[in-house]
Amino acid sequence: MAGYAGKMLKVNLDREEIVKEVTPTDLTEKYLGGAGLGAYLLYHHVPPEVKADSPENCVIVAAGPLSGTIMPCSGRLSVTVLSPVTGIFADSNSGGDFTPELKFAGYDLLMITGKAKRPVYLWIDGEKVELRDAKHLMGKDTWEVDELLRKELGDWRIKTALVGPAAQKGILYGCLVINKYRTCGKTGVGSALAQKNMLGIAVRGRKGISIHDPSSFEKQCDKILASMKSSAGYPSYSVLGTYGVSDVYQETGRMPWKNHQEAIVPQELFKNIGSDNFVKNFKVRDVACFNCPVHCSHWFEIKEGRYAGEKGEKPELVASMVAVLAGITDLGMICHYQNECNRYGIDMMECGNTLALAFEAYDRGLITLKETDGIPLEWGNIDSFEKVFEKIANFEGFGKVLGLGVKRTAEWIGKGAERFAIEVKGYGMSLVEIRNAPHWGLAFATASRGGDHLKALPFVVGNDLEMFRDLFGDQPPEELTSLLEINGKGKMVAWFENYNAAIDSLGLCKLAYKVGWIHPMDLAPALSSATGISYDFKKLLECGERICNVEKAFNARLGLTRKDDTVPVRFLEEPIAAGPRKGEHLGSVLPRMLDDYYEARGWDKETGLPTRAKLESLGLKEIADELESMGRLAKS
Amino acid sequence: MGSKVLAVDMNLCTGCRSCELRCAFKHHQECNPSHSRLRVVKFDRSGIAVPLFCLQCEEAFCQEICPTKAIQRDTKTGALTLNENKCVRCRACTMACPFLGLQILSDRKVVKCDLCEGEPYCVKYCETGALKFIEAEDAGIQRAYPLAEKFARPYLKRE
Repeated sequence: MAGYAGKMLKVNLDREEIVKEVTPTDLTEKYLGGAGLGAYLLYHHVPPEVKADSPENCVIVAAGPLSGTIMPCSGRLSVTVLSPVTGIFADSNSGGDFTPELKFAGYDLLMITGKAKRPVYLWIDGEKVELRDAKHLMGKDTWEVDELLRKELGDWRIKTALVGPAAQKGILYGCLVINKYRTCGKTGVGSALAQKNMLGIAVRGRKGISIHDPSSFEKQCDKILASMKSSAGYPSYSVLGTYGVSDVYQETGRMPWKNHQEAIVPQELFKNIGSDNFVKNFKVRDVACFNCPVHCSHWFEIKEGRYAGEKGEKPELVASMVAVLAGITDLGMICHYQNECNRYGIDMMECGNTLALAFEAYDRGLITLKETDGIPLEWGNIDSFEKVFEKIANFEGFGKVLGLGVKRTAEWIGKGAERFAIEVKGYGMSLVEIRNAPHWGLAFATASRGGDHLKALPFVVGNDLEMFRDLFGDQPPEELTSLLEINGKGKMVAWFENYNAAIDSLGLCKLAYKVGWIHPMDLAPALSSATGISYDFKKLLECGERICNVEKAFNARLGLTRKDDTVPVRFLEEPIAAGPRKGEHLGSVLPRMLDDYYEARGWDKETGLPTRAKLESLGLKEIADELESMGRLAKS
Repeated sequence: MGSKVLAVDMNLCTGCRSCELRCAFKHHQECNPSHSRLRVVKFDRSGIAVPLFCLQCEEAFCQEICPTKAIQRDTKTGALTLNENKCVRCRACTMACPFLGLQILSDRKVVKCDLCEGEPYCVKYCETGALKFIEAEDAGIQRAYPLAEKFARPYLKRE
C-alpha cells in the first residue's frame, strides 16, 4: 500500500488485548485518513446511548496518507472521540512528529476502546506492541514522563503522546501532550484517555513509507514547497507564528479583553504583550514541526522578572489571549502559563474561558472569597491567576468546579452567569472577538466540535483575488474577501469546512495549506502520485464534504439542531463597547448567514438537519436511514 | 579535489528533519528517516537540534579499518564513498567512526554520505540555511558575524 502504512491497531483495554488489522482501502478512498477516518469510525462505533466516560467510548488516533512523507508539514496528528466535556462529536489536531513515527512503525491508526483495570500506557515498537504498567508515571508532569519513558524504553528517538496529571486527577478538558510542547488541545481527548486508565502512547518506528510514483511525487512536493515559501503571509508567520496575530487583533479591535466585555486592550498595556516585545526580549530561535519549512514555533527564554529562567517552546496566540481574557498583560506570565498547561496537560483555551468567567462572576459579586478558596479573582491579578490555576491543575477546592469547563462552571454559579459563558455547544470559544468579523462568527456557530474556529478556518480577508476568482468564479472576489460583506459567506464557510476536513484527513498542517499559501488544485496530484489512487480536486473536496456530513450526522443523532448552531449571548446581543467596530453585534446577521450556509450544504434551513438527498449523494444512505428512524433526518 | 564541506549552524537548525527525509528519499525513493545518512538529535529542554553527519575526514578511521577497501575517496567531490559491491557488512566502520558518519540500514546494508555528487540534497532542502555546503576554510568563520554581533549589541543599540 503506497502512502498508507497498511495496518491499524485495535486496542481493547478491558481485556488488554491488541489486534492488528489491515487498513481498509474502501474506507481510505472515501475518508482519506486522519480526522476523516476518525469521524467515520466514531460514528459507527459510538452509538448515541454511549456516554463519554463509559468504557464504550472510542478514542481514534489517526495519521493520514501523507503523514511522514516529504510533503511539507506532514507531521500532524488527529484524535477523534466523544468529548467528556460536551458529550458530542469531538476531534483534536496536533503538530509535532508523532504520526510520522506511527507510520514508520507501520500503522495508520489506533482504535482504543474499553477501560483498563490498572493504569497503562501503550508501547508501539514496530511490530512489537504492548500495554505496559503506568503506575510509576501517575501524577508526574508530561515533560518528566516523556523523559522517563525514553529512558525506560531505551531509545532517545521515541515519540510520546501523554495524558497529564490534571486529567488523571479529574479535569474534563485534559489535552494530549505530544513531545512536551505540542498538544491535541481541545475537547478533552486527554481526559477521555484518562477515563480509560490509559496514560499515554510511546512509539518508535524504523520502516519507510513507500510512494507510488516517487519522481512525480517529488515534483509535486517541490511545487507546493515553493508556493508556500513565496506566499504573502509566509515572511511574518515564519518569524512570529500565531503570536503575530495579536498585533492584528489589537489594531482591528478583536481582543477578548476581560471576558470579551471589550474588544481592545488599553494601548499603554498592549506593548507588553505585542510581538515586538516578544521578538526582542523573549525569542531565541525558530523551531519547527516535522518536515516544516514554516517553523512557526519559537524557543523562548525569560531573562528577567518574576519568571526569570523559564524556558520553553511556542507561546501561542492563545496563551496571550487567555491573559487578556483575565485582564493581564504580562508576557512572562503568558509564556509560563503555556509551559504549565503543557506540563499538566490542560487545554489553554477552555481553562482560559473558565477562569475569565470566574473573574467576571467575582467582579459582579456572583461569587465571593468563600467560593474561590479565599483567592480574590480580580481582573489583572497575576497572583490570583496563578493560585486558582493551581487549584485546577490539582483538581481541588474551587478547581473541582472550574476543572469541569466553562459551561458547567456557569451552571454551578447560576444567578445569570450563563449569559457570559463564552461557549458554543458546550465548549469554550477560541478567544477572539467575532462581532466585527461575521464569517468567523458563522464558523464558530457551525463547527461540529463546538466553540471552534479551526474546523472552517475561513481566511478570506485580504486573500489572493486571482485564486479566489479561479476557485469561486461566480461571486466577485472583492466581495467574497471583504470582512463585513455578508453575501456569500455562508457558502464560503461551508467550502472551507470541506477543504480543511480534507487537509486534516491527509495529515497535513492547515495553517500552512491555507488557500493563498498554496493553490488547492495542487493537492490532488500530490495525493495521487503518493498513493496511486486517482484523485482530482473535486473528489478531494467531496471527501471533505462527506466527512463534514458524517460529523453533522453524529451530532444530529444526539439531538443537535439549528438552535445549537449559535454563538454566545454576549456576541448576539451586546454591542461592542469601544474600538474600531464599536456598536456591532451578530444578532442581525447570523440567522441570514446560517440560512445561506444550510442552503450551500444542502441541509434543511429550519431544523439545520441533514437531508436524505445530500447524504445519499455522498454515499451515506445507511446514515440517512438511521437518522430517519430516529426522527433526526430533515423531512423532505 | 573538492574543497567544499558540509557545515552546520546550530542556531539556525529548527529540528524539522527535512534533511533526513530528503536524504533518504533521494537515495532510496522512500520516506524513511532511518535510512538517512544524517541524523538530527534534539535537546528539547534547550530548544537546540544538532544534525550529525559524516565529516569526510582527511585521514578516515572508516577507510583505514575497512578490510575490503570498500571506502574510497571521490576525487571530484572529496567525499569518502562506500562501494556496496566490495562491502561485506562487517560494520567495523560504524564502530570506528567517532561521528556517526556511517549508518546501518534495516537490511544490514551500510551507508554513508556521498555529498550527492557535489550537490547535497540536505542543504538544498534546509529552509533556514543551517546546513551549508561551503569552502572548508569558511566553515568556522561563518559564525564570526553573529557571534560578534552579540558582543556588539550594547554598542549597536546606541546608534
